[in-house]
Parts: sequence; structure tokens; C-alpha cells
Amino acid sequence: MTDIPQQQLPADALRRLRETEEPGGGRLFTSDLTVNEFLLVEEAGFTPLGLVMGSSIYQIGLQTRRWSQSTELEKLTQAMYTARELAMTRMEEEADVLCADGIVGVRLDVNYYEWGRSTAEFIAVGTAVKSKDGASWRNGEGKPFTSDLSGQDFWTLLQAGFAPLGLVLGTCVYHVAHRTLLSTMASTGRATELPNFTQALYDARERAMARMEEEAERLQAHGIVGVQLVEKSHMWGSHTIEFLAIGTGVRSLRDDHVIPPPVPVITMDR
Amino acid sequence: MTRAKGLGTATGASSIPEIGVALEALRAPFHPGGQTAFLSDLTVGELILLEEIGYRPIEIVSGAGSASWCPQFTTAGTEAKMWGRAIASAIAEARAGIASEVSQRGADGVVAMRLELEREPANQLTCTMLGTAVRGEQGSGHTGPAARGPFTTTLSAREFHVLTRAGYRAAGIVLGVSVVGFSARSASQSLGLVRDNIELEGQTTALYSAREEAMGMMEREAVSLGADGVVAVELSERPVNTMLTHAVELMAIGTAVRRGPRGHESLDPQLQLALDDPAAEVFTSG
Amino acid sequence: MAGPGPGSAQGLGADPGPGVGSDTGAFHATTRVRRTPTSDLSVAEAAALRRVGLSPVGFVMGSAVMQLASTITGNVYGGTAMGGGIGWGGLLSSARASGSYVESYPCAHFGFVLNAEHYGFNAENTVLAASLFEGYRLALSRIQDEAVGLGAHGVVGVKLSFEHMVGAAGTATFLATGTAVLHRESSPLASPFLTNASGQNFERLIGLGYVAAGLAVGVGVVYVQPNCLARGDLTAVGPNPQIPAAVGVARGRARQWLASTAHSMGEGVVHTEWSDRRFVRYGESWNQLALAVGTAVRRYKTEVEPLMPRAVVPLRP
Repeated sequence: MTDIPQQQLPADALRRLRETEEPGGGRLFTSDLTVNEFLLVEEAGFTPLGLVMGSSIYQIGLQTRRWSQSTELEKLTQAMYTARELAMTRMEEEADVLCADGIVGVRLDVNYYEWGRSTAEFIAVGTAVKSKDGASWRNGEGKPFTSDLSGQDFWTLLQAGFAPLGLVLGTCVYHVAHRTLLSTMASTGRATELPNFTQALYDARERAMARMEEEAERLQAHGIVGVQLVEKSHMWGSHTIEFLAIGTGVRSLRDDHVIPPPVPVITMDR
Repeated sequence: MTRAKGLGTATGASSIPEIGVALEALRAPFHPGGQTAFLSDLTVGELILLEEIGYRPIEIVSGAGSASWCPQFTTAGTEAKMWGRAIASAIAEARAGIASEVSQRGADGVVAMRLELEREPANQLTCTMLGTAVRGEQGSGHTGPAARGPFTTTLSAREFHVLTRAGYRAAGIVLGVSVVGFSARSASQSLGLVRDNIELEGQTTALYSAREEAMGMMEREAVSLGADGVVAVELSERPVNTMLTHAVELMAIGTAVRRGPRGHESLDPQLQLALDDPAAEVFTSG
Repeated sequence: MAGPGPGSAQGLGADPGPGVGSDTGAFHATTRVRRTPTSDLSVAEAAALRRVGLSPVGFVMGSAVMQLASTITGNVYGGTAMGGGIGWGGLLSSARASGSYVESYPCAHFGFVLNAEHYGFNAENTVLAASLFEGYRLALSRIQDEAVGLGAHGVVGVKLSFEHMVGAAGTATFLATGTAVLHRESSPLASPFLTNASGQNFERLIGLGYVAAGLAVGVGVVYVQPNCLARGDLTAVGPNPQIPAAVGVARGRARQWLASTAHSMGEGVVHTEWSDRRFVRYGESWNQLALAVGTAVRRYKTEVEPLMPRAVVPLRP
């Protein structure tokens, strides 16, 4: 969508990433993975290097919406996309400082503080990892791979002969038209489809998913796993909705994708 | 490691005739025989998990600390720093308290510790900690010259068990706090009247740096414990409404760990297909 | 230790003191005709108990409404007692007389402000602690009586709660509920065991060589009248040790009490549920309460198979 300019990391970030290096060559790692996830990442043949993050406080511009028209709000779409990209790019740069092969357990958050409705902090946090086998796991663009999969899913994915390439996302902020008084009255008490609404929501979701797929194609991904389709109105009121499609683009490591047969169990904990 | 007959997998009432024996044991009065009862807030299953990696429960231990800051010596520029320092000192006080209770009982550390931070009205805050003190057998890695004082961890008994089996030792909880204050912004920005999408560079850098500072503080603490890493880090942020500024409080808490001499020891995980109904999932990120 | 000791806690364990049955028998749920076993167990819980060999025989409860002693009402500044309770002057002198914990916290304003609200103290409130303990004891001995009435061997999943009664100041309701269980091949126990463990946890307990012997309860109460600093006075200077000290002492007393009630029941206490709360507030003052309820366990066999669970990764649906 837009070219993200190369960002300079704040001095504090560089200082933190460099100060934990110990003279002996070892370094302190940090991770927000749970113990189980951390151990599984180790089992999968990766060593965590450190918690990396990127953040951007973004002022979302004003865009007028027509009350009775369903349409994409390009400016908002642009803002939501660019701000997330900024945060993710910075996170990747932090991972670069640590010479990481990838970032696992990435989560994207949007925080609102008391700065008014149009300003939000976009944040990306994940655990930078390095492969133990010495091979490069970076993606085609030479960047560390990123993935929002949990440690469990990451391990299972590798067991099945796939490797994550990158977190891919597509977004579309859509304004759904209000109904006119006349049409509301006409359909009162009847069960009827509202074709305009259906079409609007359909359209918005399709756009978000298509954009996500475009990103995956750019990464030459074999497929996308763990796709989540999120609808959120943020602070815009009920008729403006962001449709966010997010998933992990994967590549194939080998031809057969057979996993050892899982043991069927029923847990009796509840 | 061979698979022991799991307790949850025992089938049929006939395979456990012990209930009769167990109830029989309740008929006779109990003779404590001098030793004090151990106290624990863990379940028996969790205690057994600890026992199998060489730890026995001793007693429930607790610690509490509180802190405040003085607004009369404060300006808008230093307020955030004072608040951050107050949080850190309340937690440090509680941690010192629980650590001294652990040492007094001859225990080596606390597992499954509950950490609560309560904001009192005005300029106060109280931190309390509570957990089960455990003592390790010889060779469990927490005794001897390598250990630097008792360890504390908020990890559950299960997590502690797998971590230990995989060859790691918990070194203690580590944390970093920082508070960043923001000055009032131009009216047009706060009202959202700007027509273009822009990144607010000043704020971004301020918040970014504050977050890095909290993480850096946590990492320095881990290094000072001689740790190799920090796991299960929880990053949290919350707005603080102080008198002078809009401020955001950033906190990073995790458990510092040391690698054992043999490094990571594989647990050889096995794939499992649960036949349960899927849990309702809540997507929280945006 | 001041206050009621192990002697008064007998009714909680497997070995109730004499007279427990007779002074609580009048409160049996006589109007309920038990034909069908009821329980609040989940299916998995019931299955776990069946595997052990226990059958649920009924949902049982015990309850008691208590007038709490040492209820200080009205303004406590200046040492005057109002209402039906005793004032803080009385609390202080009784605490001093019994040698229990009292600590005063002077004004943090270098003594310049001569206002009673600037002075604070912590005092252990053994009277309130004892009445809370008595409420629990009654509720637990009644749930045990109901279990005896059903010929049960024990009660699992006991939930204990206490609430202020609405519209009646200074009173509290204590409630214990749980599911009575029976082992058909064993003769009845004189005093069925009580445990707050769930069905699954009980199964694990038995499998690991332990049996639940009874519920152990610990209570600690410290009355806190905060000084200017602990009150949040923005002009006060210095560290604030008063609240941590109150929490620490209340927890310490609850722990002592828990250990001493458990001492006569088993080797240790597991599954302890802790709660700290600020209870019975009077203006700026409060009673800092620590409550601990756990299951005392007794080892009935020493040889158990090792657990060493295998690491598994579930494939998520």
C-alpha cells in the first residue's frame, strides 16, 4: 500500500538491546512466551534472543462520511494499515539488531489513552528467535520471519513440515450506511434480508482478505494459517467498522506433511 | 523417562481399592509426632509435581510493601519518575519481606506466588505477595554457592515442574516500571480536527523509550541475578490519572531463569488430539 | 498465641469435640425429603469420584448467622465507644493486656499538626477473629451433621463464604455447601471428612497416598486506624510501614491458626484458599482480615507410583 520509510529506532531501544550482551558471548534473553511455549520453541530448534517491540502513536485523519452511503473510508484504512506497518517494521528492526532469524508470538495491539478519539498507539510485541542449526530462516525479503502463532502452534507447524514466513494482514475500514426512516418503517416487524447491508459487509471483508492474500503472494507463501477476521469499531461509533484479516504466511519445508498420529484424549479437568 | 501409570487414567473403581484403606485411616486419631504441619496453597497434584523434581512444601509465606510519593516536591517533569519509583520500591519491599520469611524457614524459594498491586486513594500503593515456600533437596540447584538468596516466582507448580525438567532453574521474579507523562497537546489535535494521517513522533518516541526503559530495567535486574533469560514476561500498561499530567504506567514482570549445566533437555512432546468441545476464544488484539 | 487455639478448633476436623452434634442438630434441613441424590458436581467430577469408589449422596450445607463481637460503631476518634460495641480505647487496652500485637504510628508531619486524625495504630482484633472463627466452626459442624444424617463418609468441594447480612449491622452469615459422598463397602465414620478439593483433586489425593482429614481454618484480624500518611494525606512525608505491617500480622496470625487447627488432623494442609479483605470499615479505619481455608491431609500409604507426566501438545480444534 505505502512504502514504509526506514525508521530509526529510539536510542533507548538500541541501548537496551545491546546492553544485555555479556562479555563471554552469551546474552540474556527475555520472552513473553509462557513457560510451555518457551520450552516448545526450544524443542523446535530455536533459541529465544529477546523481547522485541515496535510502537507508533498515530493520529488518524478526519474523513467525512455520507450518512446514507456505504463506502470504504480509504483514509482510515490507510491509517490503520500504515500505523501497524510502522510498529511491525520497528519490531523487525529491533530483531535485526539482535541478528534474529525470526519473531514468534507476535501480538498487535491498539491502545487508546486520553488523547482524544483520533489518536491511538499501535504496538507490536514478539519474541526474537535464532535457529540452533545455523541455517538462515529469513524470508525472501531478507527480513526475519514473523508469526502470531503461539509456541504450541509454532512447534506443531514445524512438525508438519511448514515454516512461517511472515505475518500478513489486510484491513478495510468501512462505513455502513444508515437506513432511511422510510425503509426502516417499511420493514418493521418483518423478517427480511437487508441486501445493502449484506453487500457492504461482504465487500469490506472481501477487500480485507484480498489485501492479506496480496501480502502473502508478495512473500511467495505456500498458504496462510491461523487467519483471524476481526471486526472492530474502535472509537468511531457503530456504523464505521474496521475489518482486519490477519494470519501467518507459511512455506513448505518438505514434500510430505505427515505428523505422528495424535493420541486421542478427553480431559476430565472440568 | 518411562510413562508412569497416570492418576487421571486409572479406570474402574476396582483398580483403586485404596479408598477403603484411606477411610480406615481416618478412624484412628492422628498423632502429629512433634513435627509441624506443612502449609500450602497448592493442590496435592501440584505438590507431587514439585516433589518429583526435588522440592517439598514448608509453609505459606507472605510479604507486603507500600510506597507513596510527595507531590509537594514534584513538578510536572518529575512526577512520572516519582510514581515509577514508588511502584518499584513497594514491590521491592514486598519481595524483601517474602524473601526473609523464606530464609527464616530454611526454605529455598517460593513457587506459584500471587502478586497483587493495589492502588490506594491519593498517592499510595500497596503490594502484597503470597505463596508456598519450598525446600529443595541436595542437588536441586537452588542450594549451594550458585544460588544467590531465595528465589521467587509467579510461575505455577506445573510450569515450574516442566521448566526444571527441561534443565532450567528459576532465579526470581524481575520487574521494570516506568511512567511517562505527556504534556497537554494542541487543542486541534486533541479534538481530532487534523485532516491528515500523521504519526505523532514526539509521543511515539516518549512512550517507546519509556517501554524500553521498563524492559531494560527488568533485564538489568535479571543480569544482576546471574540469569540467562527471562520467561513469561507480562507487559502491562495503564493510564494513571495524576494531578498534573496524563501519564501512562508501563510495567514488565517476568521470571528470570538460569540454564543448567546440560542446557536444554528435551521433554519429547507428543501430539495429542483433545476430543473436548473447543473453548470459546476471545480475540484481544487489534 | 492469643485467642482461641487448637482446643476450640476440634469441631472442624475429623475429631469433633463432644457436644458438637447436640448443639447444632436443631438446624437440620428437616423439611427436605431426600429421595434423589442431588449435587453441584460436574459430570467429570462425579466420574472422578466414582472411579475412586465414592457415590454422591446429596448436596449438604451448614449455615450460621452471627452477631460479630467487637463491632465498633460510630466515630472512633478520641477513644469514645458508641453503639453496642467497644471503642478503640477498649480494643487497645484489651490487646495490650493480652500481650497481642499493638503498634502505634505517630503523625508524619514532624508532630506539628495536633490533630487526632494524624495519629494511627494497628491492633490485633482477637475478639472479632474469634467470632469469625466461631461462625466458621458452626457452619462446618452443621454441614458435617448433615453428612452424618445421610450416612456419608465425607463432603467434597466444600465452599465456605461469609457475608454481611443486609440491613443488620454487625451481623454476618456463614455458609458452607458441598456434596456428601459415600463408600458403600465401608461402615460409617463418626465424623465425615470435609474437603474443599474438587472431585478430580480428591481422586488425585487418594491416588497419591493421601486422604483428606478435614478442613483447617485460620483467621487473623488487625484493626487499622491509619495515620496521616497511610490515610493518603498529600502533605505527609516519609515511608508508610503501617499497611504492610497490618497485612503481615493478619496473615501471620491466620497462618498460625491454620497450622494449629491442622496439627491434630494430618501432616499438612493443601489447597489453601486465601483471601485478604478490608472488613467492617468505620470511616477511615478498617479491620484488615486474612482468611485461610485448606484441606488437612493425612498420608495413608507411602508407596505411590511416580507421576512424571509426559509432555503433550494438544492439536487445537
